[in-house]
Amino acid sequence: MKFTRREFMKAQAAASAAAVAGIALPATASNLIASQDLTKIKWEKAPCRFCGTGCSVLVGTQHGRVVATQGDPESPVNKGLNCVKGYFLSKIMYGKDRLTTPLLRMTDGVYDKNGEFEPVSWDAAFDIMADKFKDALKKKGPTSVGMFGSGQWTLWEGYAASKLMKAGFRTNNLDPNARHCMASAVGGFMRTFGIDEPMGCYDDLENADVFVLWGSNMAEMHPILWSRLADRRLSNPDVSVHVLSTYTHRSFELADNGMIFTPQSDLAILNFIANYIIQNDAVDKDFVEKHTNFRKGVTDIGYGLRPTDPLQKAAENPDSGASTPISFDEFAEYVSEFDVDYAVKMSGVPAEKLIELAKVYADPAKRVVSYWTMGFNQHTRGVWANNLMYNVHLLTGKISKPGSGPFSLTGQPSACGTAREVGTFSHRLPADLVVANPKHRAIAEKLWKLPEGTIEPKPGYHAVLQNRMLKDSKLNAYWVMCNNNVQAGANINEEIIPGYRNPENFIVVSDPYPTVTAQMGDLILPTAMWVEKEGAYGNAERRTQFWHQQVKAPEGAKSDLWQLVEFSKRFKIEEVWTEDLIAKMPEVRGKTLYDVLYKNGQVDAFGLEEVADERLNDEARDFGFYIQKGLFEEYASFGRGHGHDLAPFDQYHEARGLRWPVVDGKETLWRFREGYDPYVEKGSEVQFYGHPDKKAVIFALPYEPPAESPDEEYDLWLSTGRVLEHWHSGSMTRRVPELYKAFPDAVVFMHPDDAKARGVRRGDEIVLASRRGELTSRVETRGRNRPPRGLVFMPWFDAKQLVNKITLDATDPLSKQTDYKKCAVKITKKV
Amino acid sequence: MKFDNSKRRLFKKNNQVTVNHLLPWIANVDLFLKNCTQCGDCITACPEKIIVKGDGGYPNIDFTVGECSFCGQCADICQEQIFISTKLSPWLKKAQIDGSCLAYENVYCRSCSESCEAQALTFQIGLSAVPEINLDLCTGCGACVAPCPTASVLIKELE
Repeated sequence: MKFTRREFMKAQAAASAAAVAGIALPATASNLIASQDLTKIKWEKAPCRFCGTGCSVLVGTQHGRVVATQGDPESPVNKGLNCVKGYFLSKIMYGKDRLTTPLLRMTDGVYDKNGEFEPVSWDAAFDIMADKFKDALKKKGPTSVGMFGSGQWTLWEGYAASKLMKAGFRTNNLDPNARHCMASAVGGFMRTFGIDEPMGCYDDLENADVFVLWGSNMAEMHPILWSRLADRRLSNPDVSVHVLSTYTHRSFELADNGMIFTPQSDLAILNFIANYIIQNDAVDKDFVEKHTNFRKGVTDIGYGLRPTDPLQKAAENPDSGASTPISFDEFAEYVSEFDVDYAVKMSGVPAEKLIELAKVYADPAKRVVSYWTMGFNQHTRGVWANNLMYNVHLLTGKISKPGSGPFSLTGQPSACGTAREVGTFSHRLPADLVVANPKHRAIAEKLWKLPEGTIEPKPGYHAVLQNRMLKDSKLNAYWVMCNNNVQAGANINEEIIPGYRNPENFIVVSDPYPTVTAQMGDLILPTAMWVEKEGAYGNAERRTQFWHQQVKAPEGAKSDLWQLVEFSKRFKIEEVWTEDLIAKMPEVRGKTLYDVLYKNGQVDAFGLEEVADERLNDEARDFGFYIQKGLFEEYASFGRGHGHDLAPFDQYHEARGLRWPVVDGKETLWRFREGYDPYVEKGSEVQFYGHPDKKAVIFALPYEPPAESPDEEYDLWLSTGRVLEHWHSGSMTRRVPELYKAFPDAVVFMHPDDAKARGVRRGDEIVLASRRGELTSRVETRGRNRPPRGLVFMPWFDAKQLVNKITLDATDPLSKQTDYKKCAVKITKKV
Repeated sequence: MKFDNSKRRLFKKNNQVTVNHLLPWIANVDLFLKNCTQCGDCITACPEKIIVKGDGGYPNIDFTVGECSFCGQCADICQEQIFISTKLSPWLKKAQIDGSCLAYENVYCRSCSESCEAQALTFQIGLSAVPEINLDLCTGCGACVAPCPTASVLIKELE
């Protein structure tokens, strides 16, 4: 990365101008637009709207529209680089079917669940919505209302939603789509370290000797990080890359040691490595002695299915995360069964490859970073897989230092920032606090200036449970915002569509576009997106990044923040709180939720004078105060002084993001290590201060089989995932013509011999079926993914081919995250 | 060569019935223009559906739709003296990536990456993944054209 900003801008200027005009510009034309037009384009920073990498882009605006984006040369994350999705960011807001008016299902001018969508005013939309929420609250209480939110919400949107649901409606039925994405990573962090999020940062990419990818296709899903990794590998011949997956993908191109393992056997491989480290005397005894405890977890914990499911009934300890203390010797004895023969038998990976992998972890001279994404997290033993990964790093002391550490990558731009740090999960509150802990509830109630007992102690319905409860008519007024869960949730035929279309339920969907989910709802609210509002995201390396509103949203579309706060005005405290609760704080009587939650002297503490006249900020001007700043500062008060310190609001508008904890203006690169982390006491070297004794836990956990495996009838594994060109369900990227063209339709990647055995050829139409549903797709035997025999891979961006009709809704019993990587399917030629 | 005035406009507009878009196994452009009756049989016969009616009604290949699999069905079905034997080399077309490729702008794209069955198209991995085409291996099938988001891949007949 040697180019200077000036050189870079020069080179990029013409290119960006070309992207302004559209796609098929001939090469020669891209140099012609340059000078004059460029001067009219205003450039300002914003984090990318897509994945969890957190690249910064420069957004070019002209005549009130975003016309171009380019990699931000000043960003420490992407250093001027960009991926193809980020390059076409400027077009995500301008799809032809952008929604600009609320749409309600109606017949003869009145709401009808079976009616057709018709335009209504925002007032009318909120009227019917408030009616339905009030009706549900009155009939069945707070547990009958709920919300499905997002790791794509800005920090303040997630925070406003959390207050509205948990304090306003007093329901904990708030969960983000991040549940599908990294709940197992959260579970792993909390269980091992007692505090969420990675200890390391992306600087490890330039410092490691060895990279190990466990269930992560970084080359496609985190291409900018992959570029940095590739640069490190190629400029240092001693650096090695190990890649583990259930099929061959692009990341194998750089693999010095590529391993294809049988699904679920990662658990066996991880235990084998721990055993190898112990057997070869490679344990960092001093580190282990000082900084870790050993515990044995309970087993046979089920598959997070409905209690009536036979598989769930058969489990001895369903949903249990209990554990008991053991000694190092007991742990060594426990993992001794996981020898190389066992690992080979379970995984199908040749012994020499497994030993080569184990050796790099065991070698004290090698700095090792382990990366993972959905391979570990979308796993019915996802929390265990995370725990077992930490075991390996803890046993060798390869953690919390430059170039060494375990690192869970994220898939959404603010899965860390909004879902995890703000705490929009059904069991969480901001800064790692949880609803089940009375002390934590008291902290939140005090900071929110609410009476004691406002927050309910029982965790709410998590993502998968929300769908089950909609189907069972227990959850009746439901707001889906900033996600596409009908395309993203699992087992839609059996568990999602019945709930959305249940006549007893009212489903509101907020989205910029008529997604599959929106079309399944009863009321659609048109939403402003990305730089049409002021925002903040938190990426995978704890980096908080801000952006200013840069363009107006299309007339009629409103941001999630505006929707949440405006809707709160519809509720009088007496309509949502019990008399007992009101009696504890009589001054709230007669006020609205808006008054109590947002005009509380804190959220409205910063006036419009802080918003520069020339700046767009629709929400601040609508509500009459700098609402984003007020929400952020109130939220930040949860974590300051408690290991989650955020910098003052204004500093983020200047910086290219800062990694928390930010103490005395300084960000933290490696947590838990003296010299880097201000929370570590002098002379202690390392402190895992998430646990009271400041030690991390090494867990003894076994291999347990997946919820479903191929059999005679359904004879193939199905693994699902993504492609580089499309982001998640494709609701944005599929509306960009260039990206659509680059990968128009989903295909089923398959081994040529498996295709031949079924009488199908590349490009043939096939029926992909599981016990839960079927779809029609086409076979791809070439291309970027090469599955081994017995496994097929399908990306899920394509709304025409809903692969989640096929996947099962078994979850990790601890994290409640669905396993989208393993189920049994069959493929037949379409006749 | 006899000059056919009625077909003169074919040569005026570039990019349509130029040699770059000619069907495989056509060695002589003049013979093609002279003998083709524009019956459309080759368009119907093509299993890849990449033969389209071009300018002047003459069939040509649209690589943005798909790739040539060299099945020879267009040549087989043709009743006129146009195609040479399908046992011979189909053409001298090669893929070429022009300067508008996003890789030259530090953009990680690679959409065309694994499209090449002949493995002539590879990427030099590094900070930015840059494409390379091995002209010895390239068959000019055009599979790399359609996925390119910036239309930077051109199929050109070697002179």
